[in-house]
Amino acid sequence: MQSIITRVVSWSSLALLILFPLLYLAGTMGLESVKLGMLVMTVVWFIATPMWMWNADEAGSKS
Amino acid sequence: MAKAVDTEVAAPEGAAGGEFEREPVPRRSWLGFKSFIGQYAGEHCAGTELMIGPLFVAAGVSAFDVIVGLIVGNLLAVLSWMLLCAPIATRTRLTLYYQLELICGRKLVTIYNLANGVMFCFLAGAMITVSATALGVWFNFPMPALNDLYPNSMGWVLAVLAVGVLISLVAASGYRVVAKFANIAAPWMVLVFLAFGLIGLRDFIVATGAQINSPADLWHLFSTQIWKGGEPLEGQVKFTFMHVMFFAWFCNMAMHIGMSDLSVFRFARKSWYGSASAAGMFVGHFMAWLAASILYAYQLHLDPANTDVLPGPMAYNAAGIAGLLCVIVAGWTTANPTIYRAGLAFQAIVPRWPRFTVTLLTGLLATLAGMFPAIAMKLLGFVALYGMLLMPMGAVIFVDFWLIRKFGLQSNYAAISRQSFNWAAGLTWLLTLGACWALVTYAGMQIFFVSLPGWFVAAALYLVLSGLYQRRNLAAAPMSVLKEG
Repeated sequence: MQSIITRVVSWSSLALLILFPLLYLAGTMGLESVKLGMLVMTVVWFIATPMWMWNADEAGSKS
Repeated sequence: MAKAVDTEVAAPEGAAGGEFEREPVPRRSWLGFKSFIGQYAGEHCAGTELMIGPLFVAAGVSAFDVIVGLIVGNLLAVLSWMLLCAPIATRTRLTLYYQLELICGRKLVTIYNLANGVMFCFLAGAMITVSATALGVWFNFPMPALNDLYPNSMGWVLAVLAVGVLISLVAASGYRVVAKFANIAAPWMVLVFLAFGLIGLRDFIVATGAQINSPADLWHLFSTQIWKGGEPLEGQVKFTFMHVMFFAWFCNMAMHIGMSDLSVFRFARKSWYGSASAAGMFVGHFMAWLAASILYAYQLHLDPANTDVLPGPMAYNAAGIAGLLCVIVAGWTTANPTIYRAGLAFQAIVPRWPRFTVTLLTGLLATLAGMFPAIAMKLLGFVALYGMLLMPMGAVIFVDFWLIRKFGLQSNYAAISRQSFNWAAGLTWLLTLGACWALVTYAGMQIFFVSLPGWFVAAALYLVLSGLYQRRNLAAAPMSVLKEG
């Protein structure tokens, strides 16, 4: 269950990471907000993703 | 060019501690198509992409030349993996090293490893250069300009030294943890590269006041503001459609036509899995190059006098700290395996030295190279040289596998004759490089194009020289005797 939650958080952070520049391209978001949003989503990605991907890699290599 | 030229990196053959080094990969270990998609997409999105894209703009490319040239060139690269490399890999299922050892003999393979290792060192140096430009944003020391060949400030030297020593120490300690981190970072990095392009595009729209209501409007912006064509910047070679196409095709020449990726595709179930390389080409060598080039074009748009190609400041201006982190991570995660693999290549030459020492010394050599901005600033030419240097051995493998028996000659001759140095292959390598050098020096052919005729020269030379060499040896000792050992 925890793995599912962290996966959802991970992929959501990536989706938001690219959503901010898309909103900037559309002219509905300022650059400073984009930079801040991308930084926050970067932090979220690098906290959430190792929780499931690190172990998944090990399981994969063992199998 | 990615964890490799893109920066991309083939394992130096023979020393890597992989599986099935001296036997065909058994059926139970074959991998599915998806494994190769992930590997190529991740490996071809490297720190050096942030140099190559801007250097296209500095070379005065036009919109049509860069976009269509990249599409065609990358397609040719994918076809090269699919039709030249993967079919041999899935038939022999051997590493490049073992395949070369059977054909060329152990001593010649050692020389090949040395050449590969040296090129890896310079490539890793360029990656360290890219990462060090990020430190310049924080510490504000003078950084190299587009035409600088030597380090231009103490701050720059210290920044490269700090980054290089850190990367070297991690590589020497074993790069398994960094490889895992690289896997985690890869999807994030790809999206940050895409973000660079989107943000740069918006910046251009705002700065030029362009109205984008149709694809034609967008193309107009591309061709009149971003990739305008015209004269290259001072000290740069003018890039046309042919330059872009050949560069995109040959920047990974060592891997496809040069056959380094035999070691990768020996695990593939089918040879068409070579098409998985498209994921790397069209993410790293299309999207990432174009995105990085948009950032540089915008920098030139704002200040035409600011021709510095510095990924750190460009990324920071576009995406803030996330962009800066991307530059560091992209440089680090790709320099690390490159140094590790260069170290393994050198260790094949000095096997008694501890791997830690060899890798650390290799990393320090790469760090020294990274202090000289000439390699990064002349990356287009360096990458072309890298492919050219290893290309002849790819032609040797191709001819040895598909053609040589049709001419009544032996394939895998070094193994059959128990030679440690197949002079036919060694001379083919040397003479082909000589021919390429002559074409560049005396015929005025640019290095970006010379590898194509070079491949045919190598193929023909190997056939002719093998005929002479094998018949001479046969006269000295009949093949039945050679086979019996």
